[in-house]
Amino acid sequence: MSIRAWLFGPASILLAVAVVAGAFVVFGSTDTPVEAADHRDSITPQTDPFADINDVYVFNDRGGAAAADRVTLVMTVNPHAKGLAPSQPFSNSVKYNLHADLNADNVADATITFSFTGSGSTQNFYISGLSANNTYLTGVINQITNFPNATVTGFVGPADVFCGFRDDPFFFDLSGFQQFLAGSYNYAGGASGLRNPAGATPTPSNNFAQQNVSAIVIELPDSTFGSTSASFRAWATTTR
Amino acid sequence: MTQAAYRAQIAMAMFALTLLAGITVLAGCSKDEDKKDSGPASRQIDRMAFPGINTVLVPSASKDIFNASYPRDDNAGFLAAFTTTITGLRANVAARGVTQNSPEIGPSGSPFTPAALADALCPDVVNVNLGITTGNSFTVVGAVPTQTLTGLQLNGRNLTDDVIDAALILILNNGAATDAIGPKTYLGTFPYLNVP
Repeated sequence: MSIRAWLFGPASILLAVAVVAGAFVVFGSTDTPVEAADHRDSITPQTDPFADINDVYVFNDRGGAAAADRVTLVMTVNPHAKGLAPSQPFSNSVKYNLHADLNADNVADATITFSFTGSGSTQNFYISGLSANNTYLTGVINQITNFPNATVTGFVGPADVFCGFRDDPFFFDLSGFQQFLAGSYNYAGGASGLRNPAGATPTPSNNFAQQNVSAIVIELPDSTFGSTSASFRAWATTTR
Repeated sequence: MTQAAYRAQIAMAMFALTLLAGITVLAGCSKDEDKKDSGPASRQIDRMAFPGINTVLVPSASKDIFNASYPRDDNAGFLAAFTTTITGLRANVAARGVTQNSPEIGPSGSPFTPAALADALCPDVVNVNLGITTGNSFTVVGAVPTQTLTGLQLNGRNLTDDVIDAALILILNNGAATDAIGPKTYLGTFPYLNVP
C-alpha cells in the first residue's frame, strides 16, 4: 500500500474547497506584506491581496469545533495588520471558490462560490453551488447568517455562514524561519525554536499575532457531501 | 449597481447554470472546473489546500504557475520539484545541526524518503474523511537517528493544528523540529475564528 493510501485510507474523496477570490481592486491596506505559508505566496497574490488565499481549514465535530454531524470549511484571504483594515473585506470582482472532489480523481465535482456586491460594512455575499440553478444564498457580511432547510429549493441545510473580518488564525514564527534560512547558526530548537539563542532576537514570536484576515466560514451538514462518513478532497481558489 | 457588479451578477448567474439543479448533496456529475463563465474570461489568481506547499516546496519561478493550475495536474507538474526541494532542504539543515534520521522519519516500515513525502503532499488537496476525527497529528517515537512516527493522521485541518511543526518534522526529517509557537485563541462557537 502506498504511503498515501496508508495515510488517508480508502475512498478518500477530496473536497477541493478552493475558495477562489476573484481579482479585487487593491484597497487602502498599507501594512508591510508578510510573506509566509501561502500568505502572499507569489508575486500575483502579493499585488492582488483580495485574491490572496492565506489558509484553508476543514474540520468536523469529532476533531474540531464544529457542531455534531457537521463540517466547517474556512477560507481566509487578504491578510492585513490589525488597525489597518481595508474599507471592505472582499472584492466585488473576485470569486472565492471552495472546490470538492467527490470521487478521488483530483478533479472538482462541485464548487461552492462566494461573490460579493456593495461596499463597506454593508457588502453582501452570494453563494452559488448549494441551491438550485439561478438561485443563491445571500446575506450581509460581518454577521452570522443561518439558512434553514426550507428557505431555498433544493438546499439540504441548515447552513451557517460568516463572511467578514476575523483575527488571522495562523501561527508561525516566520521571522525565525527567515533568520534560520539566512543565517549560519546551528538549529537550537526547544524554547528557541528556529531562532539563534545567542543572536539579537532570540525569542520566538508569532508574526501573525497582530494580523487580521477576511474570512469565509461555512458550516454544513455532513450529508451535504454524502454522509457522516463521506470522504472528499478540498481546495480553494480565487478567480477574477 | 456598478457596471462591474452587474457583470459579476450575470457571471454568477451564468456560473450557477452550470451546476446541477436541485442540489441537496454535492454529487459528482459536472466537471465544473473546466467550465468558464460566459462573461469576461476569468483567471485563477491563487490556489491553496495544504499549508506551506506553495511557499516551501514550489520553486520560486513556478509559484505563479502553481497558483493558476489545478490539482489534477500537480503530479505531472510538481511531484519531481517537491522531491528535489525536500532533498535540498534536508541536506541544508543537516549542515546546520539538524541530525537526520536514517531511515527517514515516518511510520515504522514506511520512511518518508523525499519521494515518499512528496507523493503524500502532491497533489495539493485537503483530504477529508468525515467518519473520523479531523486533524493533522502524529507522535514521534525514539531518538535520532532512528525516530519513527505513530498515529500519523492527515485529515482536514483544525484551527489548532500545528501544521508548521508537523511540516518541519516531516520535511526536515527530525522529530524535534519546531518553531516553538503554539495556536492562537479561537471561539468555541461558530464562526470559530476570533474577533478581529
